[in-house]
Parts: sequence; C-alpha cells; structure tokens
Amino acid sequence: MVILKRTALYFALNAAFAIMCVMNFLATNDLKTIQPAWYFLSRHSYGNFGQIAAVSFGYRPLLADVDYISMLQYYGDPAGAQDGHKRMLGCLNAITDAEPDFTFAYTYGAAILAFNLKRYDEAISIIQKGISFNPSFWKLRFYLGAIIYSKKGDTLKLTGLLEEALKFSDHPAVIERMLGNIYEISRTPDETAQYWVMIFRTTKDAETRKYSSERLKSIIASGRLKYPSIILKSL
Amino acid sequence: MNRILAVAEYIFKQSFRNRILNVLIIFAVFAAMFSLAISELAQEAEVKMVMDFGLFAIEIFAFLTLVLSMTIQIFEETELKTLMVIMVKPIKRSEYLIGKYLGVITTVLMNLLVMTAVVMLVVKLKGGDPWDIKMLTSILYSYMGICVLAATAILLSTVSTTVPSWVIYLFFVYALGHLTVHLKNLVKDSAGAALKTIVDFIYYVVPNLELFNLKDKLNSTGGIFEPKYLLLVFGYGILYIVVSLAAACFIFDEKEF
Repeated sequence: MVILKRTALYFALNAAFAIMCVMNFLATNDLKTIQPAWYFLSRHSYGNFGQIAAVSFGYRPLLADVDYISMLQYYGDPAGAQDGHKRMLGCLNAITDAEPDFTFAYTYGAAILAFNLKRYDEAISIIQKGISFNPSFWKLRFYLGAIIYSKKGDTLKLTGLLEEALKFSDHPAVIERMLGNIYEISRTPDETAQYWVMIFRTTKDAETRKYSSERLKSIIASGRLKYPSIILKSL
Repeated sequence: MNRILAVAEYIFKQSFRNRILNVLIIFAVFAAMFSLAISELAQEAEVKMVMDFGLFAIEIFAFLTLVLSMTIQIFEETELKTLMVIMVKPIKRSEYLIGKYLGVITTVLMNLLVMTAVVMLVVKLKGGDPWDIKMLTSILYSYMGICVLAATAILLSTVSTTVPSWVIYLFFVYALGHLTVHLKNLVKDSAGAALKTIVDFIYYVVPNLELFNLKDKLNSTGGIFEPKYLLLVFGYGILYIVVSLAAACFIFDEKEF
C-alpha cells in the first residue's frame, strides 16, 4: 500500500512538473511577444556591467533613474556649461539604454538639446530613438515636429505645436519657458504677462515658477503694460 | 490542517519575537520613505522615481525578510536542536514543513503590507495615484515571486547541511531566477548542444523569477499587464510552489536525524 501511494505521488509530481514546464515555456513566449527585442540580453545589447547587473536582478528602471539624476546634475553644473554640455547626448543615451520606455527622458532631453542648447541634430536623433522603441507613443512624433520647425526657424508653426504640447499634462517644463520666450517677441506685453501668470499658477516645476515670476516682474517694471490692473488683479 | 496552522502561527510569532527582523522592517519603511529624498533630485519625474525606488525597496526587503526569518528557523532547528522537540510531538513531518512555509510567507506578507502602505503614502504625497493598478499588480507579483522563492528555500533547507551554504544557494537561485530568460535568449543561436542543454535544465528547474518581475515594465507600452499573461504566470507560480513543497516533504520524510 505504501509503495502504491509513493508511486502515485511520484507520477503526480512528475505530471505537475511537466505542466509547470509547459506553463513556464508559454509565459516566456508571451513575454517575448509582448516585450520588444531590447528587453532580452543579447551579445549586442547592454554595453556596461551596470546595465547587465540591473537586468539580472530586474531593476532596470532604478538604473535609468540614477542616470537621469546624473544627467540633471551634469546639466545644472556650471562646469558642464563651460564645454557646452557636450556629454548631454551620451547621458540621454545611457538613460534610454537602461530603460528604453522612459518616454519623459526623450521629450525632456530633446527639448533641452533643441531649445536650450540649439543642437537640433542631436535632439532629433534622441527623439527618433524614442520613436523606434515606443512606436505607439505618438507624442514623440509631435515633439519631433516642433524641433524640426524650430530648426527651420518657422516660429509660427513651432508656436502652434508648443501650444498644443502645453495641453499634455506630462509636458516638460522647458516647453513652458520656450513658449513664453517666443511670446515675449511675437505678442503684446499684456498677452505675454497673462501667459506668465497662467504658468506661475499651473506649472509643476519650481524653477519654471520662479522664472515666470521674474519675467512678470520684469514686464511690469518695464511699464509696457496697457492694462496693468488686469494683470495685477489676476495675480 | 489545525496542526499546520499551529506551526505557521508559531513560526510567525517566532519571527516577530526576533529583534533583528523588527529592525529590518523599520529599515524597510525608512527605505521606502527615502524615496522622497531621492525624488527631490528628480526634476519633473518625481512620481516615477518614487514608484521605482519604492518597488525596488519592497522586493529587496521582502527577499531579505525571507532570508533572515528562514535563517533564524534553520539555525534554531539545527544548532539549538529545536527540531528534535517538534519531531517527538504528534505531527507529521510534511505538516511541519508546510506550516513552516505558511508562517514564513505570512511574515513576508506583513512586511510587504507595511511597506506598500508607506510607498502608497509617498506616491500620494508626490501627487501620483496611490491606487495605480499597474503598481499594485507589480507588488502582488513581487510577492508571488517571493512565495515561489520561499518554496525553493524550504526545498533547499532540506538538502543543505549548514546555514551559510543554504544562504549562498538561495542568493544564487535569486540571481539565476532573474537571468534564465536572458540566458536562454543568449544561447539561442549558439552551436554548442551541451551549453543549450545546461541552460535548458536551469531554465526549467530554477524558478523563472523574471516572469513575476512586472516592476521594470510599469512604463511599457506593450500588453504585459494583460489577464492572459498574468493568469499563466499565477498558475506557474502555484504549480512551482506545490512541486517544490512536495519534493521538500518527500526528502524531509526520508531524512534521518
């Protein structure tokens, strides 16, 4: 009886193990179908040990976050400004190699490269990389358009696209500053001041809030406002 | 069933009686809160960073809780000979092992729930959605992965002779479990049949923890959070636990003390 029980248990265990192997195989196949090719380690991907270690333990986004903070520190460092932030594209590539679907890194990085550093080709290359990894994330194509118009100097079309970009809740704050700077040239001081008031109230970025406040003070101090009471009331 | 639950309750209480484990839980909560400090550096990506760091802390501390609580159990069983006292009581060896497993995963669950609450609070403070379904699903599957690892740990505890060797095996399984999918992909085009066989063996025997790893796909535009995939992985997890525990019970029954 004991032998019979043990044999039955042995066969049941083997059957369960076989089913488990099939499920493992099917789930892995699903993973391969769902995830893009970059997800899996290959001989050609992941150039450094940090990335391999992050993939091995499933902490890829954490590595991208650390790279993102490093990029911000490099961009904010005056020493980086001396060489014109030459390593900016490298920093962005490191972030997006670690986590290719970190879409904000593409839009933020491309906006800085194009609108602040005026390195349009690098901005276009990082946006195109984003599109290749995230083809369904349509906002990247939108930003690509804005960068191309900016490169061509077509301010009218660029303004239209930036105004549309402001409607996305996840737009980078650099877009808000860029649009404000364009308004300062192309619109009346009253319209520009109203824009800065709106940005001061709605922006999620502390630096942009400070910047909009400074711009408002500057416009008010210049005495160019036709209806200063309206602006002061709305503050 | 009552005997299994009694063992589980004993293991659970024993784990919390131990001061080291409590310190670990405090550290875990601090780690989740530390993500607030990290996010201050992350201009405009605060919520993402809080979530990433929180999910990382949850999984790593859940794993450390598992290692620590099981190390305490194994040390007490082998070095302090408490196992002998339990063996003379009217309880089957398999009941003891299953009870031990339930006790350990309940301990991990308590730690995980505390950490999840802290992470949700931090996400809320940063203006994110604390009830984000993707985040909560990835925490659930992290726990599922730890449950699978706990079953492997129980199996390893029945074959390893010392506590250090058991800890080394478990860390090895944890790393290899995340790598199996990638290893299989790497040797796909390899000509070496022997290498492919070794990788296949590892792939089917070691728990495939990468399947449970949803936390690095939170921003993925693919359909990783679809019910079909989630059900398949859940089924795989349950079967792995059943097979591992059954094998552990079988070995433990045959073991002579």
